[in-house]
Amino acid sequence: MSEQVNRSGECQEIYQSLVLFIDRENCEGAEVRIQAHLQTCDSCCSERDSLELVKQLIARSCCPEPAPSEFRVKISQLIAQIEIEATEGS
Amino acid sequence: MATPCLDCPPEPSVQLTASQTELLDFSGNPQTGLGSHHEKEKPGVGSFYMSPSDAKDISEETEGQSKSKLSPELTARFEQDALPFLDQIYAGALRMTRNPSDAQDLVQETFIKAFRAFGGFQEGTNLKAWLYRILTNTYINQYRKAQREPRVNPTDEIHDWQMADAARHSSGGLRSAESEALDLLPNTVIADAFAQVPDDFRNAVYLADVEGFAYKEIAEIMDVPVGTVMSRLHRGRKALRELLSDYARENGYLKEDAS
Repeated sequence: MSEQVNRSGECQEIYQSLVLFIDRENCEGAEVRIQAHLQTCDSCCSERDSLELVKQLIARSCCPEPAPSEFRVKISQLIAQIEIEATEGS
Repeated sequence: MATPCLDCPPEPSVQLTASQTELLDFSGNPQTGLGSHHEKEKPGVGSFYMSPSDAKDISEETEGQSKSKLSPELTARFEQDALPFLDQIYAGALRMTRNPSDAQDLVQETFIKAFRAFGGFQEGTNLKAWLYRILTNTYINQYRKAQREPRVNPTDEIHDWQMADAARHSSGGLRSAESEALDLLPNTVIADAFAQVPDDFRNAVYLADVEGFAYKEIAEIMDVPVGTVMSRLHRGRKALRELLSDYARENGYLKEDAS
């Protein structure tokens, strides 16, 4: 808990990397250091949770909407048509 | 004190295999000082085997050139490899255009362009990202031009991102009460709020959080530096969080004096 009081230096640095951390864009070394810091710092943990929550909310709200089946057929037909035209033209 | 990653050997991201890292080069330099491992990676040989200008020029390709590349084998390969992404590309287009009719027009054009350019696509590279790139270019060139919606100035974005609001790093209790409230919000509310987030930010966030693309891939798709991708993600998510917090407060999910 004493970490929390003295969080100006390391927390500042960790905070800036938390976004990379939740997006899994940090290299292994940085990830290990952030993990270690998170185990001792409630404030950064809460920030991590907060960032991760928004990511999760977006993922869960964007339910996959399949393309209408007639549209799928249309695309296939268009492609076939382009190919026929190209073959006939050459 | 060194920022994270700077003291680490330049290794590929956990999300990219070594071969993917080679193939997915990004053309700009990261503009932030955050020490992402991207700064150390060397540019690869090709990006989806198609340069940004190539991707933009697909529509301007002459009929003769494009026809000469087509063959029954290519068509079969396109149907087998590219068409299975139709649902995902359609869902992405729906998120961009916000209505099914425009989304269908956009996807139709994307797949026709992709098919005509498919002879230049290098097998083994990221086909979904390649399709997304054509989708994004088509959207920017046509739909957004029609809407006369101005693009965000990239230099502004980077500056804003570098100023990452560290001041917000406080009031853990309030943040967690807010998080609990946001977690209760129905999907329709979140989707509506997400639709209000500005285009460039929303699309970057969609590519990262729904499609799971890595920063470098998003940079390729949107044809911007990785630093700009980071800025867009940051601002997009922040904007969404603020919209949702407002909604939560106004609709009784979160009490004003939660602290």
